[in-house]
Parts: sequence; structure tokens; C-alpha cells
Amino acid sequence: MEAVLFYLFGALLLGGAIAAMTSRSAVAAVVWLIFAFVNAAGIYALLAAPVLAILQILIYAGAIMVLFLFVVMMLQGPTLKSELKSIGDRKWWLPVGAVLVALLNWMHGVSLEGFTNDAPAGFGEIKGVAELLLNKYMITFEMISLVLLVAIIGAVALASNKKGMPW
Amino acid sequence: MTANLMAILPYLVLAGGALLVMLVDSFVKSMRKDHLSNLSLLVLLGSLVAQQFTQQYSSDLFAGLLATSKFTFYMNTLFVAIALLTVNYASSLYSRSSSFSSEFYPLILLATLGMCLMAAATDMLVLFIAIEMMSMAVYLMVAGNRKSIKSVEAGFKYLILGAFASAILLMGMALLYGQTGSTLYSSFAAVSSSGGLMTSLAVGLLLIGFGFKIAMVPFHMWTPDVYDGAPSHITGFMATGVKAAAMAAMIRIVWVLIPQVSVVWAPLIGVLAVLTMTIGNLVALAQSNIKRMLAWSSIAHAGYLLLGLMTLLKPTSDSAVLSVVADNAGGALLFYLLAYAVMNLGAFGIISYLAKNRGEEADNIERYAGLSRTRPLVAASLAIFMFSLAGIPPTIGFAGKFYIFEGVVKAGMIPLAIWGVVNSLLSAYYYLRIIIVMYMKDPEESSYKGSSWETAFATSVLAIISVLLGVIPAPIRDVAVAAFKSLGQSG
Repeated sequence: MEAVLFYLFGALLLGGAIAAMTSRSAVAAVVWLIFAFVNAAGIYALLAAPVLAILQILIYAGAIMVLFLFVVMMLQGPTLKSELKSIGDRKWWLPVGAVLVALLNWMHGVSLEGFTNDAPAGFGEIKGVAELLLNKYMITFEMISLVLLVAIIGAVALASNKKGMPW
Repeated sequence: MTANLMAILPYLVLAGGALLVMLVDSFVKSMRKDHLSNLSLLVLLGSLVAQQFTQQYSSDLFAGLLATSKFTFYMNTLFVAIALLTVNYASSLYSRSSSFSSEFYPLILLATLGMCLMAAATDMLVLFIAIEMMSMAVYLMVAGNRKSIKSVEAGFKYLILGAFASAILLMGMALLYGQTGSTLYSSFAAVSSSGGLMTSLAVGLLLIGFGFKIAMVPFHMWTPDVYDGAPSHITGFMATGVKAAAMAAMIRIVWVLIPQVSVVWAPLIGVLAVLTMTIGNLVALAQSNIKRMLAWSSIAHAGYLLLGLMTLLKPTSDSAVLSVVADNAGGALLFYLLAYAVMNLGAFGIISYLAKNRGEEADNIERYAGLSRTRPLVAASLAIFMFSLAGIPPTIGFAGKFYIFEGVVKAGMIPLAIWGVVNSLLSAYYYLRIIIVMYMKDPEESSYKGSSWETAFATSVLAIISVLLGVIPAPIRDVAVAAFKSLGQSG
């Protein structure tokens, strides 16, 4: 059952990625990428990482790709379709891809010495993540909120139309 | 938990202060925004005071994520002092140009917080977030002068290359995490010290990531453009604060990971230190723009710092000798960070002071002609900073270099020390050229005049400190050695 699902998600993920690369419309490419990300989330779920799967859908497929979509559509949606050259027109990437696949195949055989193999029990569950985030890593959690605050201040400062602000 | 919070009170003051400044900015309406700069100065002073009250050092805060010690005390004081001066320069610039950007204040407070946390981090996760907190704020401050194409270009360049460096750093951290299953520095001691492929790769990537931040050759290419494009007082903040923070984090990592790191770093850092100071000094010779000249000189100074780091990595069979040599070398490094901050902040303060019109930068060396007659005090201060940067006694720059080279010699790397001294001699040419222009040439119509007594006062104080600590550096140096010792024994 797991193997069937893995190959299903894997095939859809690959198909989505190829469609994203070869599609001539930037908007369609982004939509295909979202499709690929959702399937990647399926593979995460199969790997017993439900939180990662949920975050993948919420953040990558949801927030980030929607942002991409808006940027693409706002910037040059109408003109892009005719001008964009599809990567499918270029044949040189085929040998490059073949080399990458060969490399991947080789890496599959290499044993990663020194790396710890087994995930601890309960790894990747929401409960575990929440406990880490709000207990052990509370301080980093708060620090990240300050990093985001810096980003917000910067976005507002750079985008605001106030006249001249040399600092 | 309460004990943890008490111990990080100085950091909380900075974070809370940044929020307070933002709130005050939106609720208190005033045409002159002096109250924001005064409030920021109060917050910075407050964090220094809070630090005095939280002197029960602990190496195990928040389950080992942070550690406070004499080391963090020393570094925090340095960072906060740098921020204090930068705020002073900024506010005097604002009152001259009668144009204010209230966003500057929370950004500089948060950048300072990021630096302090970098020095206190004993966990890769905390370190990375702290680096990002500092870097993001600095990217923004560099691009702050939006009217100037150069400033925006500098901000963008720094952002792209900085993000790239962060990614490389993160990859190194991920590889270390992959081998230990923990992000704590202390757990890395268990990593194989024979220099397995993964360990070598990981610490190599860490070196590249930090190399970007301290402007180490060959990851220095952004430095001249960014230092030149950013407003002068921000350049001063970057050159001193960011470099010191990255160096503090490197010292901590080196000190935990000496056996693992030295396999890769020791030979590399020796070569890179020589390259960094030589290239920095050679290119600085040809600059006619003082900010670019100081940018290349800051690359050269990164080379001297790397020499100091090299002495920490030097493997010795006699552990008693090693620890004495290492304590002195570590103390020399920390002292050098302070010395570099004093003289560089002074120089950039004067560059910021001489800019008269909004958005203008006093960066053309030729236009410093006759400054000794129009502004004798400022010219004298700048001359002291240049002597100090060149490492001429009796200035703090000489004392700093002396301690670094002394450490290098004691560690038995005499050729490196000689090369460092040769470089110092080389650098004297371009530092002294500024003094010649100021003192030997007549003032011209286009010469910079400058105004604003706050900056002139602050730089004069820095000049006095430069000479004072150049004459009697020992007390501060003892503090620096004690600060380094508080990191504890390695491995």
C-alpha cells in the first residue's frame, strides 16, 4: 500500500515538475509547481512526517506559491505567454539531466557514515514539534519573531512613499 | 525560568526598547524626532546598566542554548558602545539635514541585539537566527539612503551576497547536525576529530559563511561597494560591529571545536590571512575615495584578525604552553576588536561629520585639503585615527597589532608575523597620505568644512581613548584575556 502511494505521489511529483518546466505560460508553470509541492507533501506524510507535510501544503503550496502567482500575474501576465521560451525547446539539458540522475543513483549506493540513522520515537508529530517549539526552543521562537519584525519594518520603510529618508 | 530571564535582562532591554521606540514613534507626534534618538540612547545605556546587575554568569541558560560569561559581558559592552556612537552620529546627521527616519532606531537596536546574541549563542540554531537578525537590519540600514542609487545598490548587493553566505553557513550547520543529532556546540565535541569527509566539509562551509561576514579574501568582493554606498555612520557600524560579532561567534566555535576545526581551518586560515591582508593593503594603496580606502583597509584588518585566530588553532604537544599561548592570543583578538572599533568608528564619524548637505558623502580624499586649518580639532582626531589604523605607537592600533603579532610569534609562526609587520608598513602609505593632505595642503574652495559639535565631541573622545589605551593598554588587555578565559577550556 505504502509503496503504491509512494510511486503514485512520486510520479505525480515528477509529472508536475516536468509540466512546470515545459509549460509556456508562467502562470500555468506556477500552478503546476503548486501541484508538484502538494505531491511532495504526500511523500512527506508517507515518511512519517505529518507536520512537514502540513507545513509544505500551508506554506509552500499555499502562501509562497500564491505570492509567486500574484507577482507573475501583476508583473507581466499577459505579455509573458508569447515571449517566454519553453525550456522544452532546448535540448542541451537532456545530457545534463542524465548526468544528475546518474549522480543520484551513485549517491544512493554511498553509505552516509557518521549520520545517525533512526529518528527518535515520536519524531515529526505535531505534539513533539509543539513541545520543542514552546519549551526547549522558546527563546529561538521569540528571536524569530524579532527577525520577522525587522523584515516588516524594512518592508514598510523601503516601500513607504515618504520623501527622502537618509539615515 | 525566572533565573533565565534575569540572566538575559540586557538582551530583553534591547528587544523591549526596540518595541518601545516603535510605539513612541507612532503615538508621540513631533516634528523634531530627537526624542527617538534620546530614547534609543537610554535603551542602550539601560542594557549596559542591566548587564551590571546580572553578573551571575551561567553557561546553561535555556537548556544550553545561551551562555553568559565575562566573554559576553565584554562583547556586549563593545556592541552597545558601537551602537551608542552610531546613534549619536545619526541623530546629529538628522538634525543637520532636518530629515528624520524613525525606522533607523528600532533597526539599530535590533541589530545590536542580534550581535549580542551571536556572542552569547552556544547553539547553532540561536547563532543562525541571531546572524539573520543582525544581517537583515544591516541590509536595510545600508539601503537607507533611498535617494542615492549607490546606497540602494549597496543594500541590494549586500542582501544577495549575505543571503548566499547564510545559505552556505546553514549547510555547514546542517551537516554538523546530521552527524550529532543536536545543534548544541557542546555536542559537536563528540564529532570525529580525525577529520572525516563530512566534518571537513561542514567546518569548511562554516568558514566560508563567516568569511563573508568578516570580509575575508576571497569572499570580500562586496566590501568596497557596500562600504562606499552605505551612509558613513552605517558603514562604521558595519565595519566594526558586524565584524566583531562574526569574529566573536567564530572564536566561540573554534574554542569548542579545535580538534575538529583545526584539521581544515589551520592550514586554510594561514593562507587566507596572508592573502586577505596583502590584497586588502595593496588595493587600498590605489584608492582616492576615503570610504573605499577604509573598506579595503578593513579587509586588511580582517587579515590581522585571522592571524590572531590562527594562533588559537596552532596545535602544540605541550598542553600547558598551549593554554597560556591561547589565552594570550584570544585576549589579543578581543583587544584588537575593541581597538579596531575605536579607530574605525572615529574615522567614519568624521567622514559623516564632514558631509554637509543631505545625501552627500565626504569621501573624496583630495577635498580633505587644509582641514587642519579650518577644523583643527577634527583634523587632529582624524590624524590620530589614521596613525592608529597604520599601527604607529603610541596608539591603540599599535597596541592591538603588537599583541596579535606577539601571539603569532609565541605560537612559533615567525614568518607569518614578519609578513604581518611588512603589511603594516605597506598600509602606512595610504593612511599617512590623508594626514599629508590635511596638514600639508592649503584649504580650497571645495574642501569639506563640516559642522555639528556632537560628532566632533564624540570623535575627539575616541581620539583621546585611542592615545590613552595606546599608552596604557595593559588593564583593558587583562580584561580581554579574562573575558577569553571565561570561555573555559577547549574540547
